[in-house]
Amino acid sequence: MRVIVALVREMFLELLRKKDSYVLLILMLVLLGFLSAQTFFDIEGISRYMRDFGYTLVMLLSFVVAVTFSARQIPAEIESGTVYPLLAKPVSRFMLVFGKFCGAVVISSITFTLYFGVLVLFCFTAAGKAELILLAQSFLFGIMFLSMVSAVTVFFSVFMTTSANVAITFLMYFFMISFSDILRDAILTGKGFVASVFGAMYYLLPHFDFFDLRVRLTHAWDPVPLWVVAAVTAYTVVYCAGLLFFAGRLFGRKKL
Amino acid sequence: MKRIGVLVFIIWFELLIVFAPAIDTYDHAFLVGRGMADVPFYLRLLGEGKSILSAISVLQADRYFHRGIGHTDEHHQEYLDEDHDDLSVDDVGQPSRSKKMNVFLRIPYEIGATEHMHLEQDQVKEIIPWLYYAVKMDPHNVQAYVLTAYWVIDRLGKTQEGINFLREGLKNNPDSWEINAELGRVYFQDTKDYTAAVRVLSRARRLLAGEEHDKFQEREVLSFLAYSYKALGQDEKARSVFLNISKLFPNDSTMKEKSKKTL
Repeated sequence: MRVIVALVREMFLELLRKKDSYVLLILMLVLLGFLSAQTFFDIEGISRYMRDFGYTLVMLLSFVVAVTFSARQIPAEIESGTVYPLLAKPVSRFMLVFGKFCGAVVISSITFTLYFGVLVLFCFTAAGKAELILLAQSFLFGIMFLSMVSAVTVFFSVFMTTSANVAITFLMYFFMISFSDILRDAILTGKGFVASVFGAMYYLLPHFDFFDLRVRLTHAWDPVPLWVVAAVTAYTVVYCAGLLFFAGRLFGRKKL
Repeated sequence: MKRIGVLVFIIWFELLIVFAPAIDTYDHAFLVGRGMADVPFYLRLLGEGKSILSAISVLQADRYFHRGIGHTDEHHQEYLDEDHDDLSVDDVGQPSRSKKMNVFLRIPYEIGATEHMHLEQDQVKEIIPWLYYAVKMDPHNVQAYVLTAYWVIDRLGKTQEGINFLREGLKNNPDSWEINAELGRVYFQDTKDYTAAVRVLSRARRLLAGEEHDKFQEREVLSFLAYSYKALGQDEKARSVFLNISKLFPNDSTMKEKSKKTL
């Protein structure tokens, strides 16, 4: 446990030291400030496009921070040689992977909380009860989304270079956000080999789309049913656990 | 060494003073020649892609009108209409809560809302930014001008702002019969400025004659024109336009009666 706390602390200090998250925060403030200053035909109270854009921005920027931070952790430790004194201590390789995952989740969650807070200040100051529940759900889904992203990135970082890892994770994210519906339709409507291939892709690839509450939040729909929250939570835990298990196994066999 | 540095700096600075305004002047003249001088820099960067983005922006406005939900998915409907009776269907044709759809497949439907609803009353203002940006991205998107004007004037009651917007549209698209016709309709219906209505509707009629169109569109333009003439007391002209409409629809006796009554 102490090892994990130390790894998390080290990554947190790196987050404070590096300027990435500050720059992204300033970018977000500028963009939201620009949008909130826009007027359309002197019509007052237009807010949904701001929520839409703001939520997308929060998710995207948090995703960028999570990927870029987690992707360079293990390769940097190996490249600089700091992984050897770490492993010389009574720290298993799996614990190292798990510690890096925990650190990635903590730093991306801190960044996400900051960005989400800005979004709430800009767009949800007059939120009603239903919207508050939806906001809480969005926050929870955001944290789970970043946990999933961290797990995927840490998994790839065991056997990929940082740049390849970042590129693959970004591609996977945009693919799942854009084409997950098509994969699902292919399962429902297709038959035989094609349906099996699409089915395998649908079940194996990480469903980043499960965490996207943009439409509900933007258009003030009802909160997500509880069973869905439970199902998505269970999915996240199982998927992350599986990825970390395989990452630990792969890292254990890796020649350093 | 220091002197050389100062000398290089002076030459570099002189070159900047000579070249920068020249490039800027050329650039401005180039953009004015193409009607793009007023287009913001970030939109110019998009090039021709801005027309596509403009069309997407109009579609996004439609999604907003349906509270973030797209239109009925025909693909699902076809699937349901075939031999698959294992999926139940809600009012928009989306498979839902089926016994054969496992939890994993159901989650996306539960997360994204699927109920078919429209924005009501004051809420329709939420679609305006997308329509506004549609014309900002592509000032030649005539459909976006007409649509925006309809929502701003007819549904949100901002008549003068809508008229100004249509005028801006006319400035960018002087040969558009659609914008002329819409402006004529607004002058006739909202501001009761029949002289202005006759002016723009006559122009719309002339432009329409030079383009492919259906007779229902022509009837709309001619109807407003005829009633504008009538409101101005120019009954002979009104009668002539009513007769033109009746030629478009020979089986419809209403316009013939109108032309007779106008006499």
